Amino acid sequence: MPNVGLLPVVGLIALLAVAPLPAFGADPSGEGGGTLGVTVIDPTATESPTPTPSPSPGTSTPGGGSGGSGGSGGTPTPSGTPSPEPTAVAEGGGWIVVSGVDASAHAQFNPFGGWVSASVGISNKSATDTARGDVTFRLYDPLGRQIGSKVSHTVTGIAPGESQTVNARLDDVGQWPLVRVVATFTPDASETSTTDMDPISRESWVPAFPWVLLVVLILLLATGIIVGLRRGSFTRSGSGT
Amino acid sequence: MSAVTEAVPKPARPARPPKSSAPRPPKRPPVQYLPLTPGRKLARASFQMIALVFLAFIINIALLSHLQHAVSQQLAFNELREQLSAGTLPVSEGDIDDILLSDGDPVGLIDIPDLGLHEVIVEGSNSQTLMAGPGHRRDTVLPGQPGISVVLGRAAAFGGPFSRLQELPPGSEFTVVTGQGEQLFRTIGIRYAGDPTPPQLASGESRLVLQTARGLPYLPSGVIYLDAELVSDVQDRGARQTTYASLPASDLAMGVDTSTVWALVFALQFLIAAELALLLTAPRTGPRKTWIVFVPILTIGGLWVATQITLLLPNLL
Repeated sequence: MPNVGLLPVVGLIALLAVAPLPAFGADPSGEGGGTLGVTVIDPTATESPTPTPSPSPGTSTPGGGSGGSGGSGGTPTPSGTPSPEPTAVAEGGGWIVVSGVDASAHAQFNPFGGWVSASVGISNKSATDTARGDVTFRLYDPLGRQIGSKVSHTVTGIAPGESQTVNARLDDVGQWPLVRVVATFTPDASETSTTDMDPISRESWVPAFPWVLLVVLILLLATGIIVGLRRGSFTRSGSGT
Repeated sequence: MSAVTEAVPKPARPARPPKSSAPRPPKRPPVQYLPLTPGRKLARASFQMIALVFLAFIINIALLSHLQHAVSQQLAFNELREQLSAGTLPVSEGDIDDILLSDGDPVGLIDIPDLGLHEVIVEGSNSQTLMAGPGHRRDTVLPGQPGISVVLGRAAAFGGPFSRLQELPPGSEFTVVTGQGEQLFRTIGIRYAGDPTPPQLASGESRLVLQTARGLPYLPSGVIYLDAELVSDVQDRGARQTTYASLPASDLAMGVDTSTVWALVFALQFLIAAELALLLTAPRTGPRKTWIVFVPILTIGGLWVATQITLLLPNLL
């Protein structure tokens, strides 16, 4: 005899079969739900000198270059230069590039020890000026509090077009499973041509190995399991006799 | 001499005394809880639903998203190869049939050997598009064309293709294959918001900016920009219909696309309906049938909700 109570369930299954799961198919095939580009863009083409959307067939071949429609309008579309992103300051003559922080953690037997080795590269992109400044490394725990003391190095005489790498060792990682290394380069204004250059910071999250914490965790887990098993066997034997 | 063995009769086993000493203790009755009131049942089901959604969200973003990314990349790579061999890979915002490219259409292949990165670049850069791989921002030129080209990529979820962008040292080289051939780039360096930017491009120069999130994985705190200059020859410029002014905010770095909130509402409705059905049918059908029927339904419902929530997160996550 069919169970009437299951009817809603069958209905739900049917609904599920029909229901679209957009993200599972999230893919390129296209028509997915009126993607943005479609109609919104055309109206703005009024600003553009070339209302026709596309490349001519001949120009879209790989080698051929795109000139196509871009060129056909005569004037370039205005979208190229508008600079994308963040509003940063354009440089003058002294342009310094600081690489990302390369850092790795090292555990020690002392549970309060452990250290992080960090390095950062400074490149002087200026054509004429020599760059100098201070690089300061700091270590933070996941709660944002500084660990240990900062380590500073003075960088002198990076010739135009050259790079220099600064290494540091940051101690007292302790049992934090994750720490954040922040390196800040403060250019020396007297040496660079841009006197108002702000300090440049780079950060990196580094996973550490809190071995004491892990050992304690494993011991607690093992104790819990043993106690649980013994208690279970006692109650079983107690109820059996 | 003969040994004679005599069979000694075994003494009869004394009969066991009757067990009359101590009476067997009665079996402890199983613990019986009071039946839940309908209100408590509803509260329990609600908490179960929240836990289910939370669990599904974690599973979806930490495990399934990477699988989904891999599948999308494979599909995009197949399409890219086909178009490259046919010479129809788009070099502007329109395809060979003069139709505007859809979000997710492949436009290039980025290869960064220093990071072991080999990904198909797709057109568009909103949250859903970046699930498939790095996305080209529509209002900028394609890599290798004169001007600034911007490609965004996720840092953690959905394969996290740009998760190690910060490790790329200045001066390292990488390539992007587009419909105009292989473009060779050399990295200038990374920067955060507010840092000095590279000099303005001279006429006929080309630069590529890769963008991703920085901070803890899945908890972004800002944006990283990696600038790279074109080393190989500059290609012709393709037409762009989208301008910076007409670009949706959801396509910018850390953009959030709320256009799919309606789908989240439907997903939640489905999950609530499933929970209600569970509450109503469980007393009649028993735990075994309930389990068999509702586990798949609730799992799929939970994943559906989780996916819709993921779509509402920043695109560089």
